Amino acid sequence: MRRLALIIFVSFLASFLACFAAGAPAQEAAPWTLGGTLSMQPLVSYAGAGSLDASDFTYGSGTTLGLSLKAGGGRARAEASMEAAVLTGASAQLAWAIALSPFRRADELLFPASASGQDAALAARIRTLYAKLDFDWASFTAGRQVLNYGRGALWTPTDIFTELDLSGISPVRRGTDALRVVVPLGVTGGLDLAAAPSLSPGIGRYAARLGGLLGEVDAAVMAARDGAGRQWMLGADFKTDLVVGLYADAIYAQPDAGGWGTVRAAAGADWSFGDFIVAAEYYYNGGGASADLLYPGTHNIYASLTWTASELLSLSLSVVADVEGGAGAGTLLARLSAAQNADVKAYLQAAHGSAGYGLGYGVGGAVWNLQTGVGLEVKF
Amino acid sequence: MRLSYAVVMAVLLAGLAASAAPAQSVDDILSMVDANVSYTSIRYSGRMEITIAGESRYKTMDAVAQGSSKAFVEFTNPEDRGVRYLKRDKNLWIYFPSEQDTVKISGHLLKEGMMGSDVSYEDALESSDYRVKYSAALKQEDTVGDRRCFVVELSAKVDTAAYDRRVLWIDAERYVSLKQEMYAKSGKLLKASTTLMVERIGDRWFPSSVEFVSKLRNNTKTVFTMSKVALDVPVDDRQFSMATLTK
Repeated sequence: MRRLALIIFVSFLASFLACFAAGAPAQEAAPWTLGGTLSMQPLVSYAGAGSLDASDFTYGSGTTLGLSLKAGGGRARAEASMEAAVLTGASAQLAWAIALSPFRRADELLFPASASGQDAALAARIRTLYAKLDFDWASFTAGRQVLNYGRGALWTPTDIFTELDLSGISPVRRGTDALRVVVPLGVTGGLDLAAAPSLSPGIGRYAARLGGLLGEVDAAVMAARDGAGRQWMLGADFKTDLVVGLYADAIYAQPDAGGWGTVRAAAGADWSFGDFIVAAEYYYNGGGASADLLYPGTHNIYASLTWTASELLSLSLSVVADVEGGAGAGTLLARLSAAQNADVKAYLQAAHGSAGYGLGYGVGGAVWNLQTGVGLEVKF
Repeated sequence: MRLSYAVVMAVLLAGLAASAAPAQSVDDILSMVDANVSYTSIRYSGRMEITIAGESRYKTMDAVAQGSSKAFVEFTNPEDRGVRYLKRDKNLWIYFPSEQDTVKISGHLLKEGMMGSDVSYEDALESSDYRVKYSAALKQEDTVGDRRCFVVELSAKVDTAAYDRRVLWIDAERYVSLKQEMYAKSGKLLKASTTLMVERIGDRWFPSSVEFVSKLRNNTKTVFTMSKVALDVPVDDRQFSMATLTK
């Protein structure tokens, strides 16, 4: 079945391209745009204990085609974006490990479905697929979409719909199947209603978020229902400037069973001087792994330093750590604009002790793990 | 971050218009420049070409602005397609379509140089009415190319001015700024601009292409060109709303 599904998906991709190969009408603004990225990322990983045996090293690569179609104009619009990837070695192993973990999504295709002596895999998924109607008094969106709440650089506890994909160099938000209504309130405010129901609507997720600009503060409050988790949630977030940029994001979850609920909160600051930008963030996860599988530790910190050497080159060093659990990762990343439509990224990551499913701290397992890779991304 | 440079350039160009001024007395000169380049609203398509050590990158955009306090920019080049900027007074938001992410730019970023350049968001947000933030003095006459120019020096009179001093070369016939130098309080020359093209739009002369050169970096320049310029067109205030930014 998975092979058949993959064939159907690839056929769909081909049709998708063929349908629009003729190009847009030349006379007026195109009613649709087709764009995308092709990225290739080879990597080498070392997981030894000081020795340099060949078995301590692993190699992998991922070549990903992402396509995005946006159609329509005026009040009605639609968007579809999808990704297909060829994974080898360690990259395929990671995909198979994720497929066996709670992060697995049944609608993401992976062929073959398990390692079983294989060294390569094909993966595909639809990231967004939605239609949207815009009126002056409200907008309506239905389908798979990226729902993005919160302010944090890395942690946004109020971002209850988002699942992060950490398989690439940078985190990417996955799409959520949802219905959404946004009612503008003034020019900078709005009431955002979102619903992600399940087969049984009672176990879906539902949220109402009210936000706007209060003085110089971007702020929002939200209330949500997590049917699967059998809990109600209340959250708030803000961002403001006091010489440095300050922001915070917190949510309280009250279980139906009664008793005290759990709090998750993040607070951070960013500041720049010259060509440098510094950011630091603290994350308190009072709910443990049941509330956040990626970052199950109670006390977590994140810090980054970015140097924009020029319009063409930037370097950044970032660290994320579970303070109590001893898990963490540090990453040095260089980005070079190699051409008008092409970026080259090179990174070196050291990770340690990500027990369980704490993939946010890297994939080091119980020992130190070093990984280096290069990514080439071509946009069109 | 790279995109902010484009916006800075776009708004600098618009600001440049309001900075130049006309003839006899310096106030007369400045008011004649204002008559050419000040507007209640503007729509245009822009192209910015950044050259660093011989390597060039371009960005294209559609922009609309109302007065000096409201602006909306949407990038159209393939690499940045759909990225939008909304400016209302001193507040600036950036929308990234891929992550459906709306980011409010922090105050310190408004002051600091962006992307390794010396152009800050504050440059972009400065009011185009230089007579409010600067005192002006007519220095002498000069020529730029074969054009006779008035040289006007602007000195900051409020702390919120982006530069301590500016020197403008104003075309004595068309009353547009053909050249400008921006100085720090220390007297150091920070950057310079040269108007490459002046177009007739209705009864105005309008600088439609300007080259900016940072004097703190080697081998860099940026050429910003506006096309399809429409001045004083009606613009719905909802154009400058969060709803339009995330549309």
